[in-house]
Amino acid sequence: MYTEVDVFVSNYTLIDPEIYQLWIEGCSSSEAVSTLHQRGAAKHLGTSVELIASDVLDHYRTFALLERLLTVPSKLTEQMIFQLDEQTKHMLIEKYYDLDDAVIRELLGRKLSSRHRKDLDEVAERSGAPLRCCRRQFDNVRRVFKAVEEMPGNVVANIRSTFLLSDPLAKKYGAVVFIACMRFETAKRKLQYLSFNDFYHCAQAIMGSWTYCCTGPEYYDTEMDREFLLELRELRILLDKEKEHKHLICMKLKPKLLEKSYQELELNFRLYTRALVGLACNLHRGRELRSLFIDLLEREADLKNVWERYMRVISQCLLTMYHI
Amino acid sequence: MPGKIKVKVLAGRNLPVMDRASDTTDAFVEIKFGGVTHKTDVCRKSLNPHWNNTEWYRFEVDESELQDEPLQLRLMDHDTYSANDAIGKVVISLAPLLAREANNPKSTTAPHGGAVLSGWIPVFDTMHGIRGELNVIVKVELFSDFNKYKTSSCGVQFFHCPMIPPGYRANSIHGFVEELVVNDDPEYQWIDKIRTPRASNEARQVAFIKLSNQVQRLVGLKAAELGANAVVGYQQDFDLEGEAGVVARAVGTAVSITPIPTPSYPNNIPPCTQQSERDRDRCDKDKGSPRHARHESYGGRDPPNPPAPAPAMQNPSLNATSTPMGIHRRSSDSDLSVTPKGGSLNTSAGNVGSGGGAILRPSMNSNNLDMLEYPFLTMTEFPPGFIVHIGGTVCARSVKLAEGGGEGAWAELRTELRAHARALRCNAVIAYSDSAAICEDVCVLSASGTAAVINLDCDYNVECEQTPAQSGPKGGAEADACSAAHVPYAPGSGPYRAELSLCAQCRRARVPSVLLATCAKPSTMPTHGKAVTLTAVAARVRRAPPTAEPGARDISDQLPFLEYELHKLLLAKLRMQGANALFSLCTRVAVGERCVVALASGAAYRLRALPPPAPPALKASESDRDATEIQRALRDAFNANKAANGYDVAGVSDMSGGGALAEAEGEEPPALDLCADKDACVLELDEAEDVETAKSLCVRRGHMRVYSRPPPARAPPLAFAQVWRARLTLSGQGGAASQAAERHVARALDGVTYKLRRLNPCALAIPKFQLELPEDEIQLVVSGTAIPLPEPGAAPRDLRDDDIFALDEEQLLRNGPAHDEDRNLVGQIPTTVSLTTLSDVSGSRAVRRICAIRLLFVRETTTVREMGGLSGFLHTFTCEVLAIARAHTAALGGNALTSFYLTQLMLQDNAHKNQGQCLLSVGGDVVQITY
Repeated sequence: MYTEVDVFVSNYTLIDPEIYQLWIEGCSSSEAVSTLHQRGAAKHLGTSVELIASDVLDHYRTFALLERLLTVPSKLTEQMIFQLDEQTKHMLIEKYYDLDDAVIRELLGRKLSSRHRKDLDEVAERSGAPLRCCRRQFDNVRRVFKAVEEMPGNVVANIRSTFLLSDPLAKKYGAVVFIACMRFETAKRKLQYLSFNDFYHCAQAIMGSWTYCCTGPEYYDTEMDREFLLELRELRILLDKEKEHKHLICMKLKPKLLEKSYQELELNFRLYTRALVGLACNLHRGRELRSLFIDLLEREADLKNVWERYMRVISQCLLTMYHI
Repeated sequence: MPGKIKVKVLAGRNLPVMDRASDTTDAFVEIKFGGVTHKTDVCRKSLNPHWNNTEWYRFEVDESELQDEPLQLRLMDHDTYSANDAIGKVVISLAPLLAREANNPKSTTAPHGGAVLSGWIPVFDTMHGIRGELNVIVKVELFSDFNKYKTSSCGVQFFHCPMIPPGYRANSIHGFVEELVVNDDPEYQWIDKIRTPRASNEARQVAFIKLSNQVQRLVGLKAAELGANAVVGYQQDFDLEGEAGVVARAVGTAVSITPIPTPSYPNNIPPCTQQSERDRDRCDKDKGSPRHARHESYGGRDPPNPPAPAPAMQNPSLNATSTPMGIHRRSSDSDLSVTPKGGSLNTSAGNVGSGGGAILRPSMNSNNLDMLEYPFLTMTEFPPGFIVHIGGTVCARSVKLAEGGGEGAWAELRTELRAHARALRCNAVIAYSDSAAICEDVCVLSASGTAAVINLDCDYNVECEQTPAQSGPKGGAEADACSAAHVPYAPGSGPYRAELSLCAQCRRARVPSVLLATCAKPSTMPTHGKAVTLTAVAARVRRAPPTAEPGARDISDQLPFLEYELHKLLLAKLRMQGANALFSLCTRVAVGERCVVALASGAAYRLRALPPPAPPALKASESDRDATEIQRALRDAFNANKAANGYDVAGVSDMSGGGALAEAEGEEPPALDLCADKDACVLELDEAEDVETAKSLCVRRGHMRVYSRPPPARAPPLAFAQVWRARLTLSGQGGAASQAAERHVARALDGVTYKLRRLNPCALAIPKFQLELPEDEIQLVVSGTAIPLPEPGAAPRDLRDDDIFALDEEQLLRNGPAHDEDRNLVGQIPTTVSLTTLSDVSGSRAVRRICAIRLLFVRETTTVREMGGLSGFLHTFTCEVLAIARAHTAALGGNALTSFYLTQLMLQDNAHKNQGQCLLSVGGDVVQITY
């Protein structure tokens, strides 16, 4: 039966979450139909492919129309074309902006310019997600980045209010934006084993402790606290007073660590502190900062406050990166 | 006397970028009414412009112009050097404002009432669709007009609602009003060849809107002449006769109504005092003339007839002024006790006189084919006691060549219809509607309705309490209820040989074996089980060239066969469902270049009063083994359907004493019934296509449960439209064509059922069908409303027990939050706009019934492929139209659009040019509701 028009429209727009999920995942309409048909067959629902296809196409057309609005979520609440309840609107936005860890891991460290949009094949191949899905996430990240990059105030709050996202998702975008702003090196082969989640936790820690902590319109929390980084240089003194430092640390750690680890620490203490302090001293240089993660990987403390602030992050990062 | 329009444009939002260089727009608005145009300032470089310093733009115009002309706001982008670009338009018909203004003289004092349209309305462009929104305020001030020869009908309210609107009290029902206006279709004017598509579409849109307003004004005028203050059951249609022009037709029922004050909003209801006062004055003046005789006696009922319906019916007041009327009818039919023929004719006629005189205009002069001669009512739902007997569906069709107009043809059809009704010994035709199907220059005009004996003296307002089973003592109600099913004619004296049996309820009167009616099922009529939707399709291939005289003659020759086939199939299907009555029957005839198709749809019921349908039987030779098989399959399907529909009642109450009933439901002879010719519904397997039909009857499909009066809902109703268009393959002769068409209809319905599964459990308000045969395709529009039902546990399953529609976990989860929402809903004023094809939103209370609106749009695109094909184009357009309808509803102060309809969907495409064009009209009654 050759059909030219088969359209179902209702006053309240019905959105099937299952079909929406398939669309989000980048399935073409025919892929979605066959997936749904298989699922239906598994549940012994004898719905004909034809009906499923008709339903899926209705949804896909609606999604295509909605997509323009979803790029500016505030428009979705204002628009009059689709009558949707608040829950559904929220669900639509949240899912549209959802980040696939595998995809976003690949996108980290890439330039977010439209020229790079066509290079997403590689991302698709590596993450195993369909190209369409990668494109959507790339565009979302790019859009969010562009929107909040220059916006003063708390980046997560900005994302939340501009894109009407939930807190966890806004935090994710916050981390992505932060990593992109800092231009952290994340794509090196050595770092390949790290998941997005690892970077997310590291970025959270850095954002929590190393950026300007006062809030106000003139502060950007996507910027490092420069004064702090400069202060870090003073940590060099720890190397000079290595004996005392070692003694203090060992005193403190002895009851907590296993004998074996403690021995190891005692033996290599010099090595460890040199690495950490050396890194700290150089962080004020942009290049060093960017390769923070690599440095941490390749090498592995008055300054009491500064040291603690530094170590809070570094320990977090190390813990995360080494999956302890 | 003139009226004054005041317009203010406050702001715009989400405008498109018109200036690529700066990514902004320099917007201004041209406000046009008639020949006068005002302009706002240019708001530079903004996609969300504000025209802060705006004053009111005023237009002073004549009253009838006020009703005909739409107010047009054109949003423009200012260009310094080149011509200004059009962004889009907002077209506002003022008729809704006028009716309210006239009914509410103190509008200035009441901030809520009054004739104001205020809010965000989408800006629509015929080439690009919705492009942002405008925030506008429109007010109308009308000076009262006592001119006797006025041409406007500002005081008359219009409702599409096919009954006395809930929340109103009917003072009297005046009768049938109709009007027909012909104009040129701009699409066929020479100028169309040289103007841009946009200009052409806009001209067409405005021309249609004007025509629509004009016909409404004229209907209103006729209603006002009858002394009515409102028109209910208003239906309007366009017949596009191509070169011959476009015909706007409207029918309605003139009534006098007053709103029942609701306690919480006592001041908000626009009181119709002025108008009705005037009516009364006039009535008083005219007293003595039969037209305005009031308070006739009702005396015709024989004492043995137990149904002593509403007390109002026994109003014994013999009024002095009542003498003459209605007598011209030949009455004096010898009759059973049941039908108070002559008497009731007299009385009801007399009572119509209370204002209208539709029935009893004393001069039955055939030259004076005034519409008032037609005892027709366009309403489909009536208060209990109004319908005394239902005679059956009456229908008249004629074929003519389009020459623009056709008043004469319509008058003939209506006269014929009236004659049919008379032949059935009925005094009125209720649920009247008419339609036209056009192909090239051949038109098929159809008028149909239900012949009935009505009692205009009943208490119209019983139902105002809105409880379905309220009419007095139970026994009385029931007796009254079954009386509607009784035939109004004597067994022998019917116009044709009909099979009659004793009423299964009262055992006193005769009932037909099957009842077909275009009206909704009277709410008091007792039934078994549930109602299901039913459709039947018949098609015939045209044999002559499609145009001109031969084409028309061919169709004329084929129509009777088409009708016969349709009827046969409909009855067979009805029986297969185990039902014995079909209400809300709607028959659509469509004429294509190669075939004629008729589609009948309705809601099947199993009435208690009528005999249960016999199992289907086949007539074939005994040796035919195929037939035995089919017979078995038919029986199985019949029983399964009956069980699924809840018609499988223990036959005790039905059978006992039902001596006339030969076949009992219980007995099941699986063998062929060879002498079954006594039964009209038996299928004869003497042709190959009959075998096909029989086989297709065996297939059970998921009939959705339908309601004419739905139970309280769990969530707001969901109006929907399913458009289906596909190639109609006409391989063989009629039979094959019928089956092909049938498959398409079934498929479209399956689609609806499948797509509505998400609302499970839900019920369906009786869906409406529109059928077109463009080129060699079939186009179907199914529009209806789904009502989410309260609880899956308690309520019976709406869909056939079929695994397809079983709720799975996910849907149960989805139902959860919806239910929470429902709890909050109670007692609240909904913020969204609900659309429903029913006359009220179940579970809610209508605070105000504001006005009727009707919107018409023309949309064109040259990027069909980019929009996702024709489906994508239509999908976008339909969504936009619904959005604009919602915006108008909200701007007029409503939050629901009841009696919603969607018509005139005309889709044309030119695949080579990647171009598509579509016309669509929607409308309904704007209502403010609370839960």
